[in-house]
Amino acid sequence: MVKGRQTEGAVRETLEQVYRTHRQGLYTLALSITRCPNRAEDAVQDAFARLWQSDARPGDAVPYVFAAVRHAAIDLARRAATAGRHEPASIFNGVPRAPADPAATVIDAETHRRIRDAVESLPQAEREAVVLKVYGGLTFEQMADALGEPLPTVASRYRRALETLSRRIKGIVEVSNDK
Amino acid sequence: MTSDIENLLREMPLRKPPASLDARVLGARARPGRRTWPIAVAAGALAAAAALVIAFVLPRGTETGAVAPGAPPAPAPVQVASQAGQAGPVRLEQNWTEVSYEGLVAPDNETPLRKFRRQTIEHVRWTDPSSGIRVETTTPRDEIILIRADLQ
Repeated sequence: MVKGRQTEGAVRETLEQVYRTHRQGLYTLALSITRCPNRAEDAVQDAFARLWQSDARPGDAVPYVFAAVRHAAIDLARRAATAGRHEPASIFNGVPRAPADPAATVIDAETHRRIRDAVESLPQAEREAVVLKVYGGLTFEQMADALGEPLPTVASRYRRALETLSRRIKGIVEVSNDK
Repeated sequence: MTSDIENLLREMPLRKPPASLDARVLGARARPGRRTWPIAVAAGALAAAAALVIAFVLPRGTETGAVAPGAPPAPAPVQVASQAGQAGPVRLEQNWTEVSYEGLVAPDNETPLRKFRRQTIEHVRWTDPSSGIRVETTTPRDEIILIRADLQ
């Protein structure tokens, strides 16, 4: 977290630290919006290209960076929408981790597929909330900053997303608990 | 229940960012951009001082005061060319350049290109210290540079 006024060099150091710490979360957020690995990469790069040149002194650099990546991703996704359709890419890898128990393979593959489909079919705003919280590791306060929305709105949206996921993957959690 | 779902989500293998992302993100940090202007201002001031010195050491430099340019508050990679050993005019050239990145474009919807705008102002001043005659030219230039985006 960046407190108070910092020198330009210190701000850049902080931004670099945020990138290194949240690299996966930032990329996943961009991917969840653009649905294209190449554009997600471009979005992260474009966001940082602007951040490096910015004079802003953010209070908390983490939501500031996530917000920049989100805006860049939305911008690229809009331009891509006008350029043509493409097969949407998932934020998840296609291959689940190999289970220790071979008998569990089918269950794990099925679990993977159902969770992936459930997450991908969430409304974008709810999917972003899940990505920011679960894969970005942001607090609700940071999420509210990154999204530019009130904290209660963001928190309730996240809970709503989990409820939706819970309904769509009903049974998996019980299976998971039984194991 | 909520934490169970969160745990399941955390166990899902995520698509990893490509290794090239680090170079693209962190490489841009060292790239010169708009924020080079403090250095350029210093360079401009230095050039102005150099022009003054050249003017004062000229033979028959009775009107050297006319040569002294005010240091412009702008970025400037500067070149000073003079004929200090002669009585001819003094030439002072200052260039202001700013490069800004304007995002990706795809003119043919297939080839993504990175669009950069380079804005340059060339300012050249000739001063004849013997006569005090001064000629100045200012040339603005706006260039768009397109570079093929490296998308893996």
